[in-house]
Amino acid sequence: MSEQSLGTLEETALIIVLMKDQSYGVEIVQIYERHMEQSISLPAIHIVLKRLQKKGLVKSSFGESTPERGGKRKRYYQGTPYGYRVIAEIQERRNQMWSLVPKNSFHYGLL
Amino acid sequence: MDSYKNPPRWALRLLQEVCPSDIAEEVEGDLFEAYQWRLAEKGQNYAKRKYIFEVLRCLRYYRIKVRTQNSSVMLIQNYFKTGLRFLWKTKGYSSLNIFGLALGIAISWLAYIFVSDEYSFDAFYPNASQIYRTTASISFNDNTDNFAGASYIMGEELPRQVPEIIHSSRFKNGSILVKFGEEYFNQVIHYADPDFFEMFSVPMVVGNHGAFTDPSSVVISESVAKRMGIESNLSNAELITTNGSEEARFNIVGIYKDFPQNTSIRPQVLFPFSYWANNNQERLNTWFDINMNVFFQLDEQSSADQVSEKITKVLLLNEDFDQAVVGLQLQALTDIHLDPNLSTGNGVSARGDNQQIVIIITIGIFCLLISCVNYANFAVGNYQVRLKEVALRKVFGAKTGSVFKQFITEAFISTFLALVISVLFIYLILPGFASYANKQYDLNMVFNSEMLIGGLTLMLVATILAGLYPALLLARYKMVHGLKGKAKLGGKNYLSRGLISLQFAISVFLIAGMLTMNKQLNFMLNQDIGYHGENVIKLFRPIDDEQAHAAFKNDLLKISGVENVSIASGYNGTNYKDDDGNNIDVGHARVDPDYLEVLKMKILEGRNFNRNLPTDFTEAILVNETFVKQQNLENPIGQQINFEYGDFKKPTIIGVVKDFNFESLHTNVSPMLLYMGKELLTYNTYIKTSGVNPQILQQIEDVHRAHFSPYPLSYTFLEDDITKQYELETSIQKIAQVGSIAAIFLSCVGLLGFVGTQVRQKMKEVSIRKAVGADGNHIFSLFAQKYIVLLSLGIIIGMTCAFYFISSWLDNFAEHIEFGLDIVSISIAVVILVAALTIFSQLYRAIKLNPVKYLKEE
Repeated sequence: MSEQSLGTLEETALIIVLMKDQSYGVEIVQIYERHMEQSISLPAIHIVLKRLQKKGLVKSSFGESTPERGGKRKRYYQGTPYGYRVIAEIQERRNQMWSLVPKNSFHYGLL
Repeated sequence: MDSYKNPPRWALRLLQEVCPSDIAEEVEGDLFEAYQWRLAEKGQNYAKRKYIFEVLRCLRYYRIKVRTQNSSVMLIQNYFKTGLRFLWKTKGYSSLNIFGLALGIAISWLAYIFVSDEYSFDAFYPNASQIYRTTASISFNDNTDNFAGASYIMGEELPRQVPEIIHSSRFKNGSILVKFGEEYFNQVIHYADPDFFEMFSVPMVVGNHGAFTDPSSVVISESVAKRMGIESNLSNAELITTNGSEEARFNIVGIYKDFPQNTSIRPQVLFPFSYWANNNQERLNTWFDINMNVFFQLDEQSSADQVSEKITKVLLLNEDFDQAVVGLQLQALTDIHLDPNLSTGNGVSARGDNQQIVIIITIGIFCLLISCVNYANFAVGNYQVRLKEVALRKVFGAKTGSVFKQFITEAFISTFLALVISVLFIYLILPGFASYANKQYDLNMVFNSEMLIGGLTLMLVATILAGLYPALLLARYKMVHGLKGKAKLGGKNYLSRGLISLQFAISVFLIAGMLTMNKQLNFMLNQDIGYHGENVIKLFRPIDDEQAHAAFKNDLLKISGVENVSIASGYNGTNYKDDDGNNIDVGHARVDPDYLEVLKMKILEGRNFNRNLPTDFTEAILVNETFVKQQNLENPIGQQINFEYGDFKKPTIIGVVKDFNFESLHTNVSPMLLYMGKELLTYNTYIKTSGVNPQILQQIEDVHRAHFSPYPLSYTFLEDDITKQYELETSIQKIAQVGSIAAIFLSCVGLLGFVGTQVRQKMKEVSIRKAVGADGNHIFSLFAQKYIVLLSLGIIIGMTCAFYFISSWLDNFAEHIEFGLDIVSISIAVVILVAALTIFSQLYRAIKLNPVKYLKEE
């Protein structure tokens, strides 16, 4: 259906953005590290968010400036309805595919 | 809330530099926040590492995509390109300009080399900052004398009684006759205490100085060891000395590395001080017998002032000075080399003068300044041509800052080229300069890292000095004017006119200074010093035996070509009390009846000594004019004075000698007494010849050998000695001459550039004037008028400074010329002449031009 093709990191980042009303770079990194149990560098996330924005999957706005950021403003990212649909479709398809994987196959040592 | 820690600044700067502006704020903020969070979680090192890593990741992620967005790199490339193109376009003036700048840089670089070498003296010793030399002062009435040095017992007792002194060593020089093989030669030696080695960190190459108290052991320097053929085996190494009849043997216990060139202390052979003490028992207990140097190393906490107070107290406890006020001071080791007020000697050799250094610094700074001013003026003049370019750049969005950067970049290109050329200059000049300054410089010494840093600093200073003014002027320039073609820059251009005046001021100052020095030196050299040294050989040989005295003189007189011989002592100082109890300081010497004849000294009153009158040997004395004047003697002849020295007492004046000056003309003639009494050891033999030639010298050497073998012959020519007294002045003069010629040359180059560009821009005006009938004179005076004000202003300022500084310099001399009208008028005339010629050479084109050429362009 969709002409959008997303990389794995893009997918993950999009999901994290969709979790909340709005979130920003450091927060996303922290959530990523908590769930994926591996670290990631900020610039990598930034570049991914930038790409998502270009594809219209997220939108961004400036927040307030706070001292813990050295007086710099946050840029908040928010998922767009289009973004939600895209990632929902991807998840859907993946779940469909997953459901076709046998849950009790002998080969995978599950029995 | 807690305060936030800052991430490494350089990384932040880098980040700001590479981040495209649209995401900069977000990235910077996120990284900052992440830094705080990691800091709290895993510590500073981790956070820092991570931060730097992420900044570098940013480089990779953003940099590649956005290169074209970053304008500063691109622009600087462009600045270089346009700068070089412009230089090429105006190659004639540009090369003149860069050449001048190179000369200025080269001269100031040489000055820097010279001065930094002078200031590096003695500073390399690891303990240098804690080592001091004792000096003494004695004031009597209003008269204060300073001596460098101390006595034996001060070196013994002071360190014992003053706990702040952690090491101490006496230091004194001497001379000894060394036998090597069958040859004898005079060797300069030094005496030192055991602490010397530690204080001055003397590196031993072979052996060890050990306790250094045994009077029969010595240590020698590597170069002496090489001369003696001793290498590494010291087991049988001996130094054999002789006093003419007896030999003495010393064990060489160690060889040390030669002391470097830039130190005041350079012993070649070191004897333990105990050896000196053994031979000078009578001098060991006198407190105020200043005849050696004593070095103290203080502990780190003590100040020299406190310690000098303490040692003065110790001295006053031990010796009573009557009415005189006596004090001991400490002079820092590193101050010795350039201190003009304390005499040197006793083994410490120093320049003892800072005048030359001041002059060299002045010339160096002047030359750099002039050449930078030249550049600035030239640039401002030329940039009128470039106003359109600047205006256009501004139209396309150049900020004030970027125009500023552009012209600083161009100044940098010029200074860089100038620096490269100046290295070439230095390469050519350095050998000459080294021999001129009596120094050993080689190129390795110049092209080391420190000097290169110096050169780069010089380049940056020159860039800023030369480029700042034009860059500021153009950066603030209003673009509309440029586009309209109103090529008027910075109001009336007061600064660049002021700079031209400054150059003239400097030139006048230097020319006047050079003329004064010349005149003063000639004055000194031609002054009647009261004696003549032509064809007189001064032979150094102490003779204590009266018989040997006469025989030696006789044999010398037999040589054909020897006209007369006189054997005399040197001048000693002493004092005596006159009838009223006043202290009278006099210099005195032992002479013989031929002394006045040999040195062509004049008797004004009375008579010379007569060798046939026995009383002349015991009670006759000759005095000089100054003595007569000082004592207010109306009829000096026949008067008895209270002078006494040893057994020679209460002599009668038999004659008055015209004043003579054996010291330099820096000092006034002091009262002098001459007598034939046998109290002083004679060690100068003056031989008057009809003309010095190798045969006579050979024969003198033969006679000397016959009488005084094995002592080697040592002699000088009296004429040379006289010139040597003015050595310092001569070398100052030489340097001042070269420096002022260079400065004047540079000023001319500057004027040439300035006038040249002005004339070029006024070609159209000149053409119109010519077309309507102006002649050459008219045009010349039109332009010349402009410079007359600048010129006179410069001359007035320069002359005022010159008058002030030169008069105070002249006061250093006891007898000196006046800073008079002749010097003033000559230097003004020279500057005006040079300026007029320069201006004319540039105007010539304007006067001769064909008006059509410039008028038809439009």
